[in-house]
Amino acid sequence: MQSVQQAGEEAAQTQRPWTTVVWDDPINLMDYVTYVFMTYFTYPKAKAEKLMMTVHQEGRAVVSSGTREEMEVDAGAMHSYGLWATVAKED
Amino acid sequence: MALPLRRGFRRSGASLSLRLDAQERAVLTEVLGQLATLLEADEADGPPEDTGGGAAPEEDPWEALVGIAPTASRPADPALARLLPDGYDDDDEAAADFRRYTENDLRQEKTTAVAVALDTLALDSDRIGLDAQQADAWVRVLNDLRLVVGTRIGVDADYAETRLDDDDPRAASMALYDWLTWLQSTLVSALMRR
Repeated sequence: MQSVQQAGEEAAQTQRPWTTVVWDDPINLMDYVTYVFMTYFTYPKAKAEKLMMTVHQEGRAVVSSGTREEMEVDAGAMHSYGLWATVAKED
Repeated sequence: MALPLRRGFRRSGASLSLRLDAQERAVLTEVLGQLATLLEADEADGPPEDTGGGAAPEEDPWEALVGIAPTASRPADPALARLLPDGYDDDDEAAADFRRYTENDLRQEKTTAVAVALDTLALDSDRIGLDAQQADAWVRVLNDLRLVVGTRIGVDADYAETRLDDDDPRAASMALYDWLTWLQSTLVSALMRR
């Protein structure tokens, strides 16, 4: 029998199956990437910095999740800031 | 380019300011003009010329009205491709659709930001004052300029260690890139200090 938590996680999976991925590049400044995450996603500075470091060290980071349409809006916004972002189905 | 002690962007309450002399404003105006030209839809990106007479194909009035391109492919110029990247990295069809629906708007947004920056430079004053909206346009535009210049000179992860001879043809572009980096970096610091 499924726990409530498992059921909740599965529901969340079905509702938010798409992600926006931001990719590392050697031109965008680290502080600028943090600024974009804080400004567009209104993430707190600590979260924005952590995501920026993940992009920098691992080459990519999932920055948001939701419906495909929402993720296309987020990826487009990242492009308007000059970040390289793509939409992907959640792993 | 000599770099005397400078302060870059400064914040005072809700507004930001920057001091640039006439030569620096001229350089920025010039490269912003080049960025605007790059962002204009060029022939290669548009629909094929109608050479056979009769009605032009693929012209849907509704799509034209809402800004959906009949065709759109990844720009061949690496610098432009960096400004207008693919929205999907593993699905060519989805990437092409994404581009058809978003590329015109993205070009327009970037072009508008360039126009805002050019307007503030056109006041022809050493002191450039920016409100929050103008500062947002400036920070995006400085980033786009760095993406273009950086792509052209092949900036990679080892760029910080790059040393060029003074007569290297890339020296001027590198000096421009470093200056834009410094400007953007002081603007981001000023924006984060609120």
